[in-house]
Amino acid sequence: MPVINDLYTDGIAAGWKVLDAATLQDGDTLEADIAIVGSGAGGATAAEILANTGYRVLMLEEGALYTAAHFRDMDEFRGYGTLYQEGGGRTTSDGAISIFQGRAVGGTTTVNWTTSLRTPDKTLAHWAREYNVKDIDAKTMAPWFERAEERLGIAPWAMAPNRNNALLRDGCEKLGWAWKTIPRNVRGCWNLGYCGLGCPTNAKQSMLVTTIPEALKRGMTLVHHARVETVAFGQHGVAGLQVHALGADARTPTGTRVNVKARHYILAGGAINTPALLLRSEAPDPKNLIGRRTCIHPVDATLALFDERVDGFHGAPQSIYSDHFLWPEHGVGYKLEVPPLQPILTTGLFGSYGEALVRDMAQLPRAQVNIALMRDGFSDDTAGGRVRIDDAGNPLLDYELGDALWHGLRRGLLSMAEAQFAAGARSVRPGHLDARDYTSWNEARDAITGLSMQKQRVTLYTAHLMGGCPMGEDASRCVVDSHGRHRETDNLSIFDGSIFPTSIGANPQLSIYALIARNATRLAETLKA
Amino acid sequence: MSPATAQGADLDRRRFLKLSVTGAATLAVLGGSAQLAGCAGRTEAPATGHVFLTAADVALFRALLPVVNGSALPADDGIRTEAIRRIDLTCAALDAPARAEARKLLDLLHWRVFRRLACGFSADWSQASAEELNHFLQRWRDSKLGLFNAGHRALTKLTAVGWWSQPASWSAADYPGPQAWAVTALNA
Repeated sequence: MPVINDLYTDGIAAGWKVLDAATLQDGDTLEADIAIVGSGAGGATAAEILANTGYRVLMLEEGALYTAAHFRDMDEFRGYGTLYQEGGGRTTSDGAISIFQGRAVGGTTTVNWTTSLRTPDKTLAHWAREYNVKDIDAKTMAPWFERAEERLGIAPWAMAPNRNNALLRDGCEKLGWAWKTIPRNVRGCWNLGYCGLGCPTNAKQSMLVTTIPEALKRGMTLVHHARVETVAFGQHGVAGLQVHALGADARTPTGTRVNVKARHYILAGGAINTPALLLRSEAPDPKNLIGRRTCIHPVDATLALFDERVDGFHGAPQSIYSDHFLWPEHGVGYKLEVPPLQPILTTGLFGSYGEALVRDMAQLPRAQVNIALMRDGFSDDTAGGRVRIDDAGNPLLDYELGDALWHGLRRGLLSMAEAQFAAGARSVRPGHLDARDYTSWNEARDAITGLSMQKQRVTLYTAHLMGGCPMGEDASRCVVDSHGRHRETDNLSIFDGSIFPTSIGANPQLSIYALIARNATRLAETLKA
Repeated sequence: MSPATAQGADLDRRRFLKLSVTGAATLAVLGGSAQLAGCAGRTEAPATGHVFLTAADVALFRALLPVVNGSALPADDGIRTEAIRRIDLTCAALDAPARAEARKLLDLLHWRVFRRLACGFSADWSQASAEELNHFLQRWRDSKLGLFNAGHRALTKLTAVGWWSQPASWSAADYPGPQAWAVTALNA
C-alpha cells in the first residue's frame, strides 16, 4: 500500500466515471447538461460548482490522467515530457519566449509552483474603468477570494523559505524594498521543491486532487485524451463539439471521433488553446477580437553565485516576492520572484555550452536566480500578443516586445542584480547571450545598461497566459460579458485565463479560481431559471 | 523525388546562395518561406527506434553532444544513446508548427552548402572536428541575426537536455536528486 493514496484508483473502483477517449466508439455522441473543455483552474472550479448544483457535467481534457503515483520519482524529464504543453518545449511562434503551460488532467494547476496571490486591487479597478467590467471591484470580489483560499488551503507559507527565496528577501531587506511571504495552496506540504513536476504527496491543492475528485463524486464524467477539434456554431448557438481521441502519447489522433451535445458549453483550455479553438471553429467574432491582446507577464532572469550552498532545487519553489517595482509612476511595472533550480531548468538559465556549461553546472548548488515578471497589457505600448492558427488549426502565439517592455525588462535585470549583490552574491549573470558573470554591482549596472535588448539575445520565459477573449460590457473590446458569457452565443461561456482584459500583475491561479467561482455560481443560477 | 522537384530545389538553392551574401535570404529561408519546400521534401523517415530524428539528425546530435556538454559527458555509448533518445522524445512532443521549424533547421544543417556558408565548415557532422563545431556554435551565438541565435539556442538546449536530464549527470552538477528520505518514504 503506497504511503500516498493517488485518489483515482480508489475513486474509479468506487464508480467514478473516468474514461480514456480512445476507448470510446467512433461516431458516439456523449450528452450532458454542461460540457466543459479543459480541466485546469477555470474548468475544474466550474465543474465542482455545477456538479454540486446537480447538473450532469462532462469534462473533456486533451492531456493524460497522471496522479501522485506517477510523480514519486520527482524526475524533470518525465515531468516536462508528460505534464506540459509540447513536452515543456512550447514557445512563441518565433521561438524567442519559452512557455511553461500544463497539459494534463488538472491543467497548469498540476504543475504550477503553488503561488496563490489575489488579483491586485489596482488591476480590478483598471478592468472596471477601461473595459467596463461589472461586479469586479475589490469589495465584491473579496468573498470569492476568501472562498477559494478556504477551499484550497491557501495561506502564507509558514515554514522558513528555502535559501533561494531567502536571498531575494535579504536583498530586498538590505535595500529597503518591500517584500512579502507568498501564500501557497498546500495542505501538509513536505517542502520538497518538485511542485513543477506534479506533487508526489497530494499536498498541493491542485484541481487534480480537489475540485475534480469532488465533481466526480457528484457524478461528473471526465474524458481524458479528448481533443476538442471544433465547436459547431449553429442557428441557435453552439450545436455540439467534435472530439478527436488521442493515443497513449496524448498527441496522435487514434482516428476515433465522438460528438458532444450539451445544453451549455464552457471553454476552459487556457489563453492559447481556447482562442485557437474558437478561431478553428470560425466562432462569431464581429469585432475581430478573438486571440488579440494576449498577455504573458514576460519574464527575464539573473543568476547569481554565492559562496555558500543555496540548494535552490530543494524546498518550496516560491515563498517570497517583492512588488516594490510593480506599480511605478512611469513605465512597465514588474514583480520579483524566484524559480526552482533543478538541473534542466537551470541549464537554460546558465545559457552556456561546452566547458563553460560544465563549470556552470558544477556551481548549481551555489546558484540563486531572481525573475522579473512584466505587467503587460495596461498601456497601448504593451498591448500584448496575438494567438492565431496555422492552416491545420494549430495554435501559434505571436508576441512582440516594444520599447516600453524592453525598458521594463532592462530595469528588471538591474533590480534583480542589485538585490543579489545586496544579499552577498559573489557574481551575477543576467540571462542574455552577451552577458557574463559580473563581480560587483557597479560592473553589473554598467554592463546591463549597455546590453542590447532584443529577442533571442535576452533569455525570456512566460508561465502566465492571459487574455485573448477579454471580458467586459464594452462590446467593441470584449468577447465575453462581465460574467464570462460569450457575447454572440447564448449557450457558450469562457471560463479561463483568456477572459482577463490585461495581465494581472500576480501569478494568475487565484484570480482564475475566484473569478470563475463567481461566474460559475451565477451560471448555475441562470440555467435553473 | 521527381526531376521537376529536383530542378525546383536547385533553383531555390541558387537563389538562396545569391542572396545569402546579404543575410536577408538566410532570414527568409530560416524563417520558413516556401523556398525550402524542395529541401524539406527530402526529409528521410525517422531512424529506427526514433519518432522524429532521422539517421542524419542522430549523427548531428551525436556530434554535438560532447561539444555542448564538454568533459562532463562520459564516453559511455549507452549514455549517448540515451541522450539521443531523450532529444528525439523532446522534439516529438512539440506541436506540428514547432516540429516543422525544427525539421527545417535540421534539414538546412544537413545541406553541405549551407554548412559551408552559415556554419563555417562543410564536413559531414560525423566528420567535423570539435574545433569546427565549437566555432559554429560560437558563430551562431554571436551572430547579429536573431534566427541564428534561435538556432544556437535550440541546438544547445536540446543537446544539453539529452545529458543533464539523466541521473548519471547529477554528480557533475553536485545535485543530490530528490531528498532521499522522501523518495524512500514515497516508494515504501
